[in-house]
Amino acid sequence: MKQTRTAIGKSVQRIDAKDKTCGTIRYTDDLSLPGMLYTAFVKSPHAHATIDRIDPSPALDHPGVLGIFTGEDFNCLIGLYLGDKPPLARKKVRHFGEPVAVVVAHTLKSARRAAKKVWVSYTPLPVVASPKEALEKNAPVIHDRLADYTHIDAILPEPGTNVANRTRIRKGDTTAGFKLSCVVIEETFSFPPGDHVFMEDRVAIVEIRSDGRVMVRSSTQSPFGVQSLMSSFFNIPAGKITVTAPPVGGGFGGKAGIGIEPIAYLLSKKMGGRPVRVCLDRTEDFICAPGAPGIEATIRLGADKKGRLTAADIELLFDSGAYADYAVNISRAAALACSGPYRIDNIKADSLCVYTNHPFATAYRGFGHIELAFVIERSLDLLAQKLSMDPLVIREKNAIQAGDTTPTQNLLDDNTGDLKGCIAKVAKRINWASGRFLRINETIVRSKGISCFWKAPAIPTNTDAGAIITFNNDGSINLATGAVEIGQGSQTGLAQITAEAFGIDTTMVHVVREIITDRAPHDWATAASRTLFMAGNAALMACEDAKLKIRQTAAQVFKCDPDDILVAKGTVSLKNSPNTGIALGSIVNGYTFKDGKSMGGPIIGTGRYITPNLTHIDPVTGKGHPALEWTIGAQAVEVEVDTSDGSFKVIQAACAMDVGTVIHPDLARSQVVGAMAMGIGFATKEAFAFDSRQRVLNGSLRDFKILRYGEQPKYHVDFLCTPQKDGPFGARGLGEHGIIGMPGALASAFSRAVGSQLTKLPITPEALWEKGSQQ
Amino acid sequence: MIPFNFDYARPDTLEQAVTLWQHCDQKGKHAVYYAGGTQIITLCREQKIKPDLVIDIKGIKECLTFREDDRLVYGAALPLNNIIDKTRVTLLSQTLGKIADHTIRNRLTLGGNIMGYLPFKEAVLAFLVLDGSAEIFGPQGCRTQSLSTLFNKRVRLEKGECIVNFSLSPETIKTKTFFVRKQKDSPVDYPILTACFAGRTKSLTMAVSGVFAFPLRDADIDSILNQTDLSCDKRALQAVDLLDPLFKSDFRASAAYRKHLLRLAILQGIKELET
Repeated sequence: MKQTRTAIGKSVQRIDAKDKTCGTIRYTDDLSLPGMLYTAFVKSPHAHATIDRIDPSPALDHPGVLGIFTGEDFNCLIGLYLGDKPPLARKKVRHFGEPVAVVVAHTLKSARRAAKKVWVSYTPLPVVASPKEALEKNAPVIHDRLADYTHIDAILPEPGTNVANRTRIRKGDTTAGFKLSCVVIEETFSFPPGDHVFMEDRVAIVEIRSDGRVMVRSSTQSPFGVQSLMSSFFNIPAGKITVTAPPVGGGFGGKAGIGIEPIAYLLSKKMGGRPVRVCLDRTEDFICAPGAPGIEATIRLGADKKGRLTAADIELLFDSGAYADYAVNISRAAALACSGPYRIDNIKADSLCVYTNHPFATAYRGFGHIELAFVIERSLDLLAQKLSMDPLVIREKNAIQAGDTTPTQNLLDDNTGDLKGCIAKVAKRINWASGRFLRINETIVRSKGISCFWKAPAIPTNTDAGAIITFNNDGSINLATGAVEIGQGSQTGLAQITAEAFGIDTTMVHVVREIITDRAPHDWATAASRTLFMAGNAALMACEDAKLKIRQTAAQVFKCDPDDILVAKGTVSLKNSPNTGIALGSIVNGYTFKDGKSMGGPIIGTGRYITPNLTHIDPVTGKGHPALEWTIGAQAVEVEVDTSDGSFKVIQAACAMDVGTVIHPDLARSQVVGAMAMGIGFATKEAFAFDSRQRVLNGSLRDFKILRYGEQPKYHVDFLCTPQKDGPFGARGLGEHGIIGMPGALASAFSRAVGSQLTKLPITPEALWEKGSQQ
Repeated sequence: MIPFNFDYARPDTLEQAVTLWQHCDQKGKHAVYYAGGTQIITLCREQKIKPDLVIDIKGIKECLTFREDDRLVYGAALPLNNIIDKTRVTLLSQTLGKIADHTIRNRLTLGGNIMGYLPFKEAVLAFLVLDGSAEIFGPQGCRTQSLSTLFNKRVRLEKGECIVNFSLSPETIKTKTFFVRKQKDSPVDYPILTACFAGRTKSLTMAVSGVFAFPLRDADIDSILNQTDLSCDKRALQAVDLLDPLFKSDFRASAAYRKHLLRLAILQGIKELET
């Protein structure tokens, strides 16, 4: 039976549309507190060096300067899963741009000016330039006290080496699997670290009130994460820490951990609790704060003569840079999904998070899946070439489906999306059947490429979300969750879900925009494409809770059983006579009878969600149940290349994704298109360039380029709708996924254009020319 | 944010501008002439330069001249977009039109692009290849000089001098030209090659930027391009081989790729302009 829906499936106006387009929205940086102090960092010009001496005296008497602090002032280590990072470098620096000292001053101007005068002497150390170098026998050990660092149980660092974590997958029998292969490919794939390039640079303001309360205001995707980590690292009761997360101007994972909040806290403490603002400018955000990891991966992949995959042996080496941050979990997430959305019965995989002397890495849209997808998708193309098989066909043949198992040996159930349907959809969109290679003239060629992707949230086994709803006298609803608005629009989606549950218009739901930990229900973090799913489920439960309470009040008004009451479309009525209804607004904050007697009181609906049945994985085999819900899809692109100089344009890009239910068609499409655009940038330009001493050469927007409007191809986005039975109205996550398959699809198309298989990103015109001219 | 104080002056006349510069210099202080400011502001923000005095020339009417009559004259303080929108010299609008993006070109000026700190100075290419001149005002007064003698890797000025305008002969409107620009990957980026060609009767000239550490027009290269007894391929190859030691290698492109692009550009330039 088709239900009539009041809110979901409609492209309603975003709740923050006017504030954002009029420029009136308030971000963290817009806040100025009385007595607020400003900071500026002194940054390392070396990627690896011992700090011999820091002399702040030339800067100390600078007007407005209140203090200059170095790593020696803060004898502590912080980190997300692994406590490996001093708030300021101590004894040595491990990456270019690492802060070694900080100036606190009355104005930003004073702080920045004084920072230039702090004198630091270094002795350069040999640098570790790649994960492979980091694993060499005589490689410098970047963290020689790794054994002493605290870490969560799920992380397995290897002291004495540069390995911060290793995740093992052992499924089936790869020796037997390779024996069944008639073709085997072996190849190495790689790309360097990069940056999120979100619009809002990182900023945090911390003050310590006279009663000891620590007030943190930060551009964070994870207010509760910041609260709990600061609590444990600084031994402050969690209830004494209040974190406020205003709307965030883009995060892409880069604000999902803990960043500059701890140093802001430590400085506020030094300044008697005065509010201290730590803000990175764009060039600092590039090099001082974490970006995206790089990868070096080696794979052996075998298939039988029909193209069925028989075995995979994979080594993923994640370039985590100087500190582990989220990268220890990124490498783990990549291991758990290492097959891509394909059935492979025999897998041996080792995924390592490796320290190097690069700027460190944190979560980045896709969370390890861009990396594994690039490796798998390229490998499938190499296999298809060896088998003389259509790259689409080899993907169809191996497409994962219900009844297959994941690398962690989980059986996929009937919630599994329709990958073959997605492949067919993108093939149709870019007219795959008409040919994959077309020569336009002597130098210009057009070619196509295809890829698939999958991703489940890589989350703790106790990932949670909460929702509280209260009511206004006009019958409208206030929805409070812990979901931060980071541009993705999920607060609008949550309003739609709530409106749908009450059968009212979305404009009748008011979402609490700013997340404050002392009043918002607990929520793990706004990351992993799980907000709509989890906070949505919590909101639905809160709606049901409120409705039950409304029915209980109404039952006394109507003198009937609560089960006979219907709450819908803004009215409360008897089920069998809908015309008897009274306005929702007259009952939600208590009902007053004609004689003045009142009853009921304010209705408060509460809802909660926690991931059910997720388990840790076995450290030896990777067996376990770490994945909640898989979102699966396919992508295809068409490119045009001038083979004389390698210059190119992306003509069209298609994505088909099985999202279960589309809550907001326009926002869903824009999330996917945005992710695809980011994927094109990721594949073709967004990467750090280093000199031989691993100093970043392009740490500014003059030099680090992202995709511009004029470079956008024509986008095709299609959604398939295999319901996710445990998702809100059957929906599953889609925020990150559009980026994952793009590098693979593009590399596939470009390889076809130049007649040589590409194994590295970014794919620049020069890289294409170089490959093409080798032919 | 610029974290230091400096004096700012916006003189009405060239004389005032130069006097301000001289006074500052006599006190042992550092003055800069300022037009669009995109480079100066960035460098000040990074504290890589710390001028004591910034002399804004946008209030001086001679620096804002635009005329295309008996002489084609372009004031040094004109924003690039003003020239692009109005000029009849195709090569000039093509060259200026690829510098930065539209919004930035509202700020960037002709003089700033040529006189700034960045090595590309693409705006000068059209004036180099079309035998243009510059009018200069300084402590010794006003002078006009051909760019062929004034420009060697950069415009060579005496202390305290300020560019008033760049100019071309009116014949250049009819001159056949060819323009090509290549970037690393983004359409809005510094060039890894910008090449301007002008073809007059039996004379092909070329000026390039982005490929070397400085813009270049070179008489020896021009004469290779004009050896019509040689095939296009041979001429292009000879030219790039002669320039071989100069090709720049950086994170934007290798020397080999730049050399390849220049060879292609020369081939194209010859084909387009040699009839």
